[in-house]
Amino acid sequence: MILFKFTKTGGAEFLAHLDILRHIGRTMRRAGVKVAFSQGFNPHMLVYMSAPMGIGIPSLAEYCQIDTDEPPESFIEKFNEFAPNGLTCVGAWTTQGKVGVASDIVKAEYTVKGINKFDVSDLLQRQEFIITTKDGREKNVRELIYSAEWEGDILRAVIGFGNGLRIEKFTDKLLELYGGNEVVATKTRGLNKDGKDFEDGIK
Amino acid sequence: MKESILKRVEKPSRYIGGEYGAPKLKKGRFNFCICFPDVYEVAMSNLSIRIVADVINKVEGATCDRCFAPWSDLGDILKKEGVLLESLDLKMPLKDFDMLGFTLQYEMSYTTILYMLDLAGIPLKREDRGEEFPIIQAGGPCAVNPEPLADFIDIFVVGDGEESMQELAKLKMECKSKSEFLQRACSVQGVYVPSLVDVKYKENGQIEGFSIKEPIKKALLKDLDGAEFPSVQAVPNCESVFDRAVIEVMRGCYRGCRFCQAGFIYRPVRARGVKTLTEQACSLVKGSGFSELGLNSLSTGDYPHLKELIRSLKDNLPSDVHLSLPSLRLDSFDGEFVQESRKSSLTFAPEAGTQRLRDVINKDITEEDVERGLNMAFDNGYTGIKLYFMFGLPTETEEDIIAICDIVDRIRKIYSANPQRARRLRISVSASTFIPKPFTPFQWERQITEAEVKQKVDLLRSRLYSKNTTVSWNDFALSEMEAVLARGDRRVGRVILRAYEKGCYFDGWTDKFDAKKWNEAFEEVNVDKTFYTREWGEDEILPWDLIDVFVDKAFLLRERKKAYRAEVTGSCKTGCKGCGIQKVYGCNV
Repeated sequence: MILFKFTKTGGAEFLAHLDILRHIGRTMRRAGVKVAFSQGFNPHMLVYMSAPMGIGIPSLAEYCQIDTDEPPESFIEKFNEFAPNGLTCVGAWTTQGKVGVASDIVKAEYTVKGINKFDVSDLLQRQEFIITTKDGREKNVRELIYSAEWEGDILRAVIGFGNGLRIEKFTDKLLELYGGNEVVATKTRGLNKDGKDFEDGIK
Repeated sequence: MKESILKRVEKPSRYIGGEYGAPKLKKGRFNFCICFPDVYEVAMSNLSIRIVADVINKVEGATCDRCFAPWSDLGDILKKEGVLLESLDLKMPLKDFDMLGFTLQYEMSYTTILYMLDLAGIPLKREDRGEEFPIIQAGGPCAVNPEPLADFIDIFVVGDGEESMQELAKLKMECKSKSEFLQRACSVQGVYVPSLVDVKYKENGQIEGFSIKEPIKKALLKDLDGAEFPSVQAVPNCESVFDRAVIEVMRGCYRGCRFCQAGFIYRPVRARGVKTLTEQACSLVKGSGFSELGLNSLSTGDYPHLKELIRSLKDNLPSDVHLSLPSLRLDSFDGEFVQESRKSSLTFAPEAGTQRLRDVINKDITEEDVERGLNMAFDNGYTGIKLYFMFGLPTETEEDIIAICDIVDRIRKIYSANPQRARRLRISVSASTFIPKPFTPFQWERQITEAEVKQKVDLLRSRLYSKNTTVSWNDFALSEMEAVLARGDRRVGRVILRAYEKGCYFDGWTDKFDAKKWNEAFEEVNVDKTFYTREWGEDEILPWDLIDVFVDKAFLLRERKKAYRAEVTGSCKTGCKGCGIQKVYGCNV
């Protein structure tokens, strides 16, 4: 099995999750990388992706696992030669069996541009950070905000991933609290529960 | 398209372009944009626009970009914010191109052409467009009756596009003005420039005549095997209607079903060789990573070397590539070729319930053919059958409708004859309303009325309800409008324009189609739709008489007479039927 990390930028952030899955499968076929297939009525390539993100958010840290014997070095080379624009493999590792790409990435780091500068201690000292969920309920997600710091005009924040706080909701709320305009968020890291980059946690 | 806009629309990947395999374009001396008046997922599944883009890009100095209709959510934003519609690859406003080429694949896309021009900031009517606007061209199957769009389109190309579009691209680079180009373009076979042709009408509304002496001959590609064909196929950014590599096995059809426009306008039958097709298939599959290959034509089952082709494809393609054979007719269905996986539902189109009516339409299938085909399908594991029929075919009676129920009964009997077929058989019956189309033996026929359709549907439903069979039929108003647009003359253009102004577009999408607005449009511009759905006189001048697809009117009339006698003409494979095409092409049958 291979675990790889890829970026999704330059337009590719507008591809839907399932379409990316299809594109990775086709990239493998074009590159001639042999991938194992599922057994059963409708065999499909064994490709496992990390949890879906909102469409339109660029990412420097998407993870995917594929059932193949291809060595990491040549995998990266082949992937990058045959992948569609904007999907670039930046790391690959051989693993023993499946790792939890979908379940074990529970935090993510983002950079956010466009929010008016505010005092991060105000954010981190809050007891409540209320967002409105899809079905209209109000929900306190304060415990899913782990860190935030300014680097110039850019806010770097670690929040929960795949567990109830979408980055769009986070930035919408910041906008409401502190103001700003043309907010652009980019996912920069995918982290495990200890706050380590996902690949470091499994090596 | 700006990111801030993309973030607000559904499926933004429709608008980003840059697909894997899409050519990297640079502006040329002649910039053409092929436009498909429907959404990305439909457009990206269409082979003809890929062919046109490929041939134009192969002309020195010429560039062909793409643009598809934005869905209404994006359309609304563009209109509201005054952002002009741009092309997919160069991201250039459509109005900055030298020429836009619209493909006319189905009549109900006509208002969507106006929608795209409107979003592009281009005046809809050709007389309102000066030199500063691109030349608006149109081609594709519906161009055989160009008249309903004559007010909007500067230049039509009727027939095969491979050679004619290259000639036009070269010619445009030589011309200094729009009018010089349009004048000179008339010497290219297949070209029709409506501004250079006048139509006179009689008091009763019928056509008195055209200002040209000879009809416009369609462009005819004689050597399909040697013709240009794109060696790569762009992989759509989002899942499309057909997500597969596609080769074109044949153009034209041997059959001559009397209702089928494609069967006449694409004559003669031209086939590619097994070697060429295998090379094209390998190149497309390798370059795209598609795991499915479509063998396209009007009737792939009739391809003379089908077994050889399938063997060659299986030998040369990766072993897991699934072959899909669309438009398999009932009688050319051969169990041997059915793909091993995905045994779910099979689609058959008997079109009519009785053998008599099938003889009327020259659908040359017998009950034995049906039975043999079905048995093979069932033995191969199929447990669902979809049956397509048409209501309102000439000479149809109640008996023909009731016979549809007999077909369903018989299919169930065939299925249950073998006790090993344990799963319950699903049958769905789909009925559409017959639409008389130009250049068919039925081009003079009337279309049945809504009341008649209702009567037939009620009859069928009352007989089929108890039989565990789903029955569906399509919207009458949509079929009626399609009939009007298909057989329309220039006056119908006024209706199209008014319908668009009232908010009609994407009419092919049943949830967007608004019959009320269309009916109001007819009234407001004072055009009677029943004029176009009535039976036409055989001596009448037809709006499409100004086009020559090389099928003689005398032949069509002969076929119509034979239809009334329920006489089958049969396939071209059984000998030349003298349709007229033999005068310009040596059909080898």
